[in-house]
Formats: sequence, C-alpha cells, structure tokens
Amino acid sequence: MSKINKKNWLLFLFLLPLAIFAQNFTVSGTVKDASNGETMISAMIYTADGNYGTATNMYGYYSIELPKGAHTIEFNYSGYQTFSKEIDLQENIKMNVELEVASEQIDVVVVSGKKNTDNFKKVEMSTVELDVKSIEKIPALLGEADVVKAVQLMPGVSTVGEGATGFNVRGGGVDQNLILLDEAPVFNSSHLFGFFSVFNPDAVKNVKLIKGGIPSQYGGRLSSVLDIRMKEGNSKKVAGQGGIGALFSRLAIEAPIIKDKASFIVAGRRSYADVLAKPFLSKDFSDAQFYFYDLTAKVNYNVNDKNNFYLSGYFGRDVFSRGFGFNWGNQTATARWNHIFNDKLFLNTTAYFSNYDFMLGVGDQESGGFQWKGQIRNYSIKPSFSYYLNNNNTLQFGGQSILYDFKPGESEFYSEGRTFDFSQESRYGLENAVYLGNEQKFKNGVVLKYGARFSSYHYLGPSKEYIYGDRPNANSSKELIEVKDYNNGEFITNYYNAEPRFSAKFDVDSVSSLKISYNRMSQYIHLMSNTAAATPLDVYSPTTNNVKPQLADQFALGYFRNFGEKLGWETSVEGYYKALQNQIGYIPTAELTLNDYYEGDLYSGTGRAYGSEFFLRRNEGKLTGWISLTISKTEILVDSINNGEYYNTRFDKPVVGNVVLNYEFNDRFEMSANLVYNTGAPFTTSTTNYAIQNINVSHNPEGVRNNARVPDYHRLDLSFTIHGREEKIKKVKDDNGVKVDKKVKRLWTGDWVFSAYNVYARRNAFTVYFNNEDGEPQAIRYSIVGYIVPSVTYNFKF
Amino acid sequence: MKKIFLGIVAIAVLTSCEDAISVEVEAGETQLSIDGFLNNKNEKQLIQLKQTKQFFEQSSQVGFIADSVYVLDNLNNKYLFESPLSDGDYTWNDSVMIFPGRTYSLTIKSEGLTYTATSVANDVPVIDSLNWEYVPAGLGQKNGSYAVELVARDLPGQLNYYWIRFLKEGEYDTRIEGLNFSVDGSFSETSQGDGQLFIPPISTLVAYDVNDSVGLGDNVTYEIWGVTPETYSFWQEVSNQAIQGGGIGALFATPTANVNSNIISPNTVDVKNKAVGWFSTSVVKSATDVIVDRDYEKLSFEI
Repeated sequence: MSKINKKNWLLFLFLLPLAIFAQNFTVSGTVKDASNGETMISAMIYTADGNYGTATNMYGYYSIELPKGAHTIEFNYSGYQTFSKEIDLQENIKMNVELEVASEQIDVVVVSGKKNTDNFKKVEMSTVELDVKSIEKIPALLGEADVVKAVQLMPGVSTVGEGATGFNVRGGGVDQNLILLDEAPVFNSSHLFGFFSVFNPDAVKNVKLIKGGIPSQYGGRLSSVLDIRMKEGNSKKVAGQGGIGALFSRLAIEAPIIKDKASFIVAGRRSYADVLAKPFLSKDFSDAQFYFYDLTAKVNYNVNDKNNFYLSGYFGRDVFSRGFGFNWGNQTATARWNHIFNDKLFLNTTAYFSNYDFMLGVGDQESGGFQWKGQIRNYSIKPSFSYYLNNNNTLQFGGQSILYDFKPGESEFYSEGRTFDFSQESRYGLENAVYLGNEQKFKNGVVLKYGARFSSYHYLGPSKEYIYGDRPNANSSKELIEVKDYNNGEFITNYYNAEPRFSAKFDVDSVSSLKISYNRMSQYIHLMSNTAAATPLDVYSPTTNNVKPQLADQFALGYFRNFGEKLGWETSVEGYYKALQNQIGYIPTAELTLNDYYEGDLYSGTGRAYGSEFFLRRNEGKLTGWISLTISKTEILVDSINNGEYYNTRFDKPVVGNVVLNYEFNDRFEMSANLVYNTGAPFTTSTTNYAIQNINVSHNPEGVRNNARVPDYHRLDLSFTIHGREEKIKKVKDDNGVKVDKKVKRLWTGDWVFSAYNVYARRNAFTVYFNNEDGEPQAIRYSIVGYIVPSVTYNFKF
Repeated sequence: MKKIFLGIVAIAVLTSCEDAISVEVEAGETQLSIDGFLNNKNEKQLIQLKQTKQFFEQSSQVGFIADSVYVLDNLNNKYLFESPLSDGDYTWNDSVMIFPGRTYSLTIKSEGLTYTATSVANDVPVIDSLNWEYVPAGLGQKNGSYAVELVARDLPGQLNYYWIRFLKEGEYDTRIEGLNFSVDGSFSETSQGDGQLFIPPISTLVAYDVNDSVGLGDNVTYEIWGVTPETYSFWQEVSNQAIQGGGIGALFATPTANVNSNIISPNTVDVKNKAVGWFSTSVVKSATDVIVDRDYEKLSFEI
C-alpha cells in the first residue's frame, strides 16, 4: 500500500463514524429544457465542491442525498447553460430545474465551466449515447439524418451491406438487438431494405446503444440494447419542424395542450421515390413501386408533482411491388405512468403493444394466385423502480411479463375460383422476468454496478408440440415422431435462466479509468434467416421444446481516457469476448416458411465473437466527430455444417473503420464527411464443377461455409449545410419613440443540406453470384448502390 | 406560423448495378464425376467418368479411367461398359439393355475402390402428337418462334416422374432454363395430374431460347424419360442451384447448396475419393415432326 493510499484509508476510517451520524437530506426533482419543456436524460447534478453527483434518469428525474447544511448545487447538460443554486439544506427539498440553451457565440465549455468527464467517470462501458443534433450532422443517404445509420458508424457495429435489414453488434445477429422505441420493441428497424431506419429523427430525443455491461433492467436479447426515446412534445409553445427531400418529406408538429402540464407531438414521413426515381432506375426496378410512410405520435400529461402519464405510438409501412404485392411494417403503442412515491423511490410502469407483419401476394381469388401473411405480436407490462438509497447506492428493481403471439404464415392459394389454405399454426410464448441491480460508489473512484435478472419462458398452448427423432443423415430433416395437442394456456415447455450482470470502474488517474464488465443474456425469440442478409420476410420462431433459448456470456475490458485542456478528446480501447449458445443453423434444403415442421430443419450450434474497438471522439469546438476502428472475429459452430468446424458468420467483418467529421465554419455554414471501410462480407461459393447431361453443376467438395468474401466495402459521403438566420433585424420604436434596430428571433428558419452519398461511385458488392455465360463461369457482383447519389434537402423549423 | 412550404429541386438516383469481377476462390479437391443416363433406345449407351474441375478452369473435364464399369439388372444380366478410346467415355453397344420395371445397378471399380448406384427403369406414356403455333417476338424471346406442345396423357394409377427433353434438329436443349421435369404431367405430387393430359408449361416450350428460335422446316422432337423420384429431385436440385441469381432476388437468395449424388462412394472420409454425379435408367418415348405452316392443331391453350 502506497503512502497516499494509507492516508486515504486512515481518512476513510476517520470519516466513517461521521458519515454514519451525519444527518442527510434529499434533493430531488426533474430537469427540463427551458425552451420546450422536454425532460432531459442524463443531465448532471453535482455539488460545486465535486463531492456529490448524480444524473437524471430516462424520465429526467433525479434524487441526490446531501449532508445537512450549505451547498452550491449545479445542473449541467452539454450545450446548455449551467444552472447553479446555493441552498441551505435543513430538510428534504424538491427542485425542478429548467436549463437554457447556451448562446451560440459563447464557447459551451466556458459556460458550463465543467470538464468533459463522462467518458471515464461513468461506470457504463461499451455504451454510446447520441443526441439528435449529432446524428443530424452526419452526411446521410439522400441527406436524411438516420438513427440506425449513425449507430452503424460506432465501433462494434456493422451491417452486411446496403440492402441488408438491421445491424449487427459485436458479432450478434440482427435479431439479437433489443430495439426499443419508447420501451416497445421494434422487430424490424428498416425501411426500404435497410436504406433508412423506421425512426423519424424529428420525433427522437435520445439514442443510447449498449453493447456490453448491459444493466439488469434490460433483457430478452443477446447482443445489444438500442434505447430510443421520443420527444414528449413542446409544453411551452406550438412548434414544428420538417424537411423536404429527394426521397421523402417530413413534418412534425408539437404543442402544449395545457401549458407546462400536457403536450403532444405528431411526426410523419412519406416517401415519393417511386415517382421521382422512375426515369433513373435500372431495369430491375423499372416496373417497381416502392414507398414507405410512418407516423409517430406522443402525448404526455403531468397530473401533479407525483404523477406523469405518457402515451406514444408508432405506425409505419413499406410497400414494394413489381408485378406482385409486398409490404411490411411495425406498429407500437406504449402507455407509461411515472410515479414518485417519495424523494427516494421512483416508479415507471410501462404497458406496451408491438406488432410486425408482412404480406406477399400475387394475383387474386378470381384469376388465381397466392397470398402469404406473417406476423409477430407482443403485449407486455413492466414496472421498474429506482430507489435512491443514498449517495453511494442506487437500486433498480422491477419485473416484466411479455406475451408473444407468432403467426408465421397465414397463406392462401387461389386456383380456378377455389381457395386452398396453407396456413401455419399460431404459436404462443410467455416470458417473465424480475431483476435487481445496484450501482454502488466507493470513495476511491471505484464504482460497481451489479445485479441479476431472472427470466422464465413458457411455450404456451393452444398449440402443438412436435417431437422429433434423429436425422436419417446429417443433411436431412429430423424424423417427426409425434405431434401432441395442447389447450389454451397450457404450458408445453418451460425454461428458466439466471442472468448475472456486473460492471466496475476503477480510476487510473484524474483523466482515465479502467472498466470491466460481464453480462449473461437470454433470448427466447429467434429470427430464422437463411438468406444472404436478413430480409423483411424472415419469420420469428418462438422458443419451443425443440428450439432452445439463446444464451450469451460477454466479458469486456476497457481503458478510457480524455485528453486536452478541457478534456474535450475522448478515447477508449475496449476488448470483448462473447460466447453464444443455442444458435440456429439450417439444413441445406431447409424450408423455413409455410412449414409447420420447420423445427426439424434446424441445427443448433454455438457461436463466439471477439474483438477490440478503438474510439476517438471530439464533441466540442469547430471540428467535431469521431474515428472508430473495430478488429473482430465472429464465428459459429454447427455439428453438421462445415465439417463440424467453426466458420465465419455472414456478418463477420474483421476490420471496420469509420471516420466521421464535421466542421463548423460559423453559425451558418458547416461541412461534414464520413469515410467508411469494412472487410467484404463472407459468402459461400462452390469451388469445383462438373457437367451432367451437358448441364453445369457446381460443387463444394469440402462443404465449407462462407469460404469467400465479396470485395472490401468502402465509401465516402459529404454534405454541406447552410443554416438559415435565426434572428432578424427589426425596426422598433424605443422608449423615446425613436426607431431603432433590434434583433428578433425569426418565426421560421430553414436549412439547406447538400449531400453526396458514395462520392467516388464505388460499386460495393452486396453479394457475388456466379453464372455460366457461354459456358464460362463468371463472378457477378451485385451492387445495390453503384453510383454517386447526390441530393438536396430543405429542413425547416418554426 | 403556418407558412407555405418552399419548393425544392432534387434528384434521386437509386441505382443498383451488376458487373463481372474477379473473385478469389480457393481450390477444391477434384473428384470422380459420373454421368450415366441410360435408356431403352436401340443406340449406344454411355456412362461418362470424369474428374471434376476447378470452378474457374476454362478447359473441359478430364476423363477418368476405371478398372471396370458394369451394370447388372435384377435378372442378373451383366452389361460390361468399355472405353475404347480410354477417355472415360464408357459405352455399351451390343443390344437394348433397359426394360420397363427392371432395377439396374452400376458398379465402378478403380484402384481398389468401388462405387455403386442403383436405378429403376420406369415406363412413360406415348406422345400422341405435337401441336405448334407461331408466337411473335416479345413473349420471352427476341425473335418470333414456334411454341411446340406435346400431347400425352399421364399413365394412371401411380405417381409417375418424368423428365421431358426437347430436341431441335436432333440436338438436345441443354440450357438450364430448358430443364423440364414433372410429376404425372403436372407440377408436383399434390397437383392431381394422375391420368390427365400433360399441362402447360410442362407440355409446351413457349420461349425456346432468347436468341434462337423454332422456325418453319425445323425438325423438332419431344422425349419423355421415365425417372425415379430420386432422379426427379436431382433435377430439381440442379435447377435450384442454377437459378441462384442476381438482381433484387439476391437479397432473398439462400446459400449455394451442393446437389446430391446417388453414387455410393467407398466408406472413407477422404473427400478426394468421394464421387459426385448421377446414375439413372429410363424408358423413353418420343415424337418427332417438322414444323410446317398449318392452321389446325394449334396449341391447346391461349398464350
């Protein structure tokens, strides 16, 4: 033990009795944005001496325990003026605070007087928080800011390519991300095959991606949590924003219903690309119709100091047709009740409904054809408590119950006026969980966050239990032995899992820390996707007697350090190892759709993913942005595939690098660039061929999977934004009746965004396939975006 | 507050494209490939033994020389195949060897290894006649062409598996798009074709070839080969493998799967000693005609 440590130790022993006997009181309340009344997530509250500190929760609520006596208490949020107040604490007090936006001319850091320390001070690791302002700065396809595209530029996140639905986090499948929109899970986060995400940035307040050290209140997916919170709606005045772009237009209106008590926001988007783009489309799309729309709405009502109600919903749909009908969409509805029992106990109860469905059809009942509809729906209630025990311990506990309703295929085939029903059985699942977690602070800068989640899952009737025997050979379906019928509400199979969660932070010095974390996650729904990348037609399977719950254990270790005078440069290096169990594999002739016996076509395997992530980010100053680099490996082992050896998953991308830069020339002009590089995605190819009756047959003698890679992916995007003037000069009469110039805020401001996606027109391959033109095998690259895509968007605010 | 939206000029270009590139494909082990489709025609019967070749290798497959190649039927008749040119083309030329209902087994011996396969020769219906009708350009092909229909009735009573082949001027249509296989003259086991006339598109090749066409004076033939359910599945797999293609369909493409083989290889784990390919025996019935301009016996359906 060093001398200094000895001293600390003695000091601690000396102070301990004082700490026990000293009288403490609680300061609690909510923090809001003064301009629009929106509650602020993760706003910092601390005493000026730096001895005590906390942050607001997802609902803007905070509670901090301070010793009796005088304190200067400060409220701080990046981009806002710090609010400071001297108090003499003689009893528990309530302090609701509204923060003013920092004036553009003054350096934000100076205003706050606070150094940027979150990166290394917080116990959270493997976590990225983005506000909409920074998402809007990233150059985007057709100039449309996009939540998921922004997340994909973060370390540890990748995608198979343009045209791939969803995203992959640290070697996880697209179904292993818990994507929450106001706490309701969204099953398909993509519009237009992944070109855009379903989240309308005009309605989004905060985005948080958790890749590791996942706290105990989250569960149900293996790899990540993408927690998206919607704006509540301006409770001060009527306001709106929107945009007119090349692909779609947006409009959001927000207004108070009762000033400072109740407000709403309604935001919508509708694309018209099919009309505008028609003359430019390649032949694949020439007779195509494709568009999407979405509507996001929320109301909130602040009944009194102790009760808040929120109601929010999302409704969106994509329509895509080419001589056939194809559409898909999500709907969510969330009702929440915030209740403050006392200064220390906060409750949020959420009830939600979430639905995803798709339809594929051709023809009609009269002329013949078919129609196939698939659906997954769930209903859930989850109470979650925050208990601010004291300054060193914040407890989170609660539970959740989810009812799943799977309708994998309602299908009809029409021929000669007759209808044949090919529908699959509906299936049901019930998932329950309880959790408890504590974040505990120690005096020497050590913070521990520990807890556990206990989950149970019940495969539920009315449904059938399919009992299978062995496979006749390794590549064939399992033999069906018996089918048992179950009645409504009967439990067919039960599973129980304990999921420990742990994170710790140790200060290395005043600007850096070391963090470690471990989490176990379980997942009871499984996306069945045997195509190059996930598609909107992929069907979810419940956990059944045959399909076991997916499990993941993840360890992560990281070093976090800030540099610079105001600690404006954040850096981190993280390493992770993730082991996955009960991963689905498919027999070569697997029939995953419209097949009640699909479970016999599945293999079960284990996965492993490991890698390191490097991150450098600057949030303040004229030049902002980040550089991220991920070096990783993602593999899966399934007995009968690849000769029983580990093979690369379809989304294994050993090197992924992103550079995102934004330069503000002044308050009117800014320029952004991002450069994306990643290793080409693997695919399976034959290595030999032979002819049968002069017809070419290709072959993969060793049966190796994902044995080749498409060429590396890289792309540069640029954008240039001209911001409209927010103020104008108006002649007003002064007290003496003399006309003078006065600056007033404009009622309407508009921004022009000029952008170019894929600037050097790289033909990035989504996939490579082979054909046999003139008897010679040829590799054909299929690029979804093969050219530069320039665009102009006009965004406005009022 | 409410202002009229300003107009906007914008161009959207959402473009996909395809082009040929070079891709590194690691070498695979070469293996014995067996191509034996025997029939009851009074002509030379051929079983081709070759080495599989590397995927991008331009040359044709090299012949494989075995120690012996013979076929036994269930009446214990032995048909010894020989390769007079030692090029892997093993032939039997003495007499008709395939008869309906018999089971045949192929044996290939090479360097102490034995490969076997079995097949049944299944009967097929007679083709009554051929119909044809001129189809102008546009319906799937560049030039106008005659669509040719075979008129045949499925053998009633059991599931029959057919492989239907088209010949122009005595040459088989070997395009993958020309692969035509059927259950009972219809699509599948459940499409109730038993004892019925063959239905289009199985009965009729409407678009013969995008670049070629069937014209006046052409000698055309349809053959129906009786195959086993396994051989039917084999052609299905070959077809499925080949149509893995590009365009927007690439988004929905499943990984390339190997085509199964009915050749039983020696019990060894060594990949290089495993054979690929297919052995099949068929009764074949055919009808031939010369396309002339006529206004009767047009297609039985409207195109």
